[in-house]
Amino acid sequence: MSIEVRIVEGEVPARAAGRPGPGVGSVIVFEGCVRGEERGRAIRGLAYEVYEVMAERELERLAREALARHGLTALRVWHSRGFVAVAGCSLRVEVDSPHRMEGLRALQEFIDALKRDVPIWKRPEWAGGPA
Amino acid sequence: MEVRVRLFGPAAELAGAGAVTVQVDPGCDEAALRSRLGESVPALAPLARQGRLAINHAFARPGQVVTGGDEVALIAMVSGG
Repeated sequence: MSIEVRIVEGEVPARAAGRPGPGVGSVIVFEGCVRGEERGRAIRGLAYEVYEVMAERELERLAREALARHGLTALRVWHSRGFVAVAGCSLRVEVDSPHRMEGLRALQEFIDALKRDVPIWKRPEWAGGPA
Repeated sequence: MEVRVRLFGPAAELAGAGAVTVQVDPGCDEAALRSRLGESVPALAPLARQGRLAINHAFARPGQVVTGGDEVALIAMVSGG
């Protein structure tokens, strides 16, 4: 079982190629992207503020809980800090598990918990506003 | 005793600062500190009531006592992902 947590500056980089371990029958990859509007108003991107030490600890705690509860093989998560332009990836979660169902459940629960417990805030930067 | 409370996101915008310092009695617990925070900075009162405090990078437990050397933060209206 393994956990990887990364807070990165700007857009989350593209997923690296790799092959899962022999016990893994399902690899689920979720990428959260920046939409072009917030509350009906066009934006050029989102600025993420991260309470860094705590955010990393909370992500690790939630990942450990997900592994234990769902019998996952691995959970890897990347989240942005700073500015991410529209269409950029600001969150990627990869869940490895023996079968797909536990991976799908774990992914849903993990992201719900992230949005509740991890100290990260996003602020829209409006289209046409200062660069 | 003085306790410095770090602020982020909407809380920092409401307070106009990234941290505020509040005076509390020794032995103050997290609920009393949230109440004191709302009294000291009325603009933060709703978030102090609804939000959670973190003490030394972990969510405070009910009844947890705050000491002067702790790093305290108000965690409210998170919006990651």
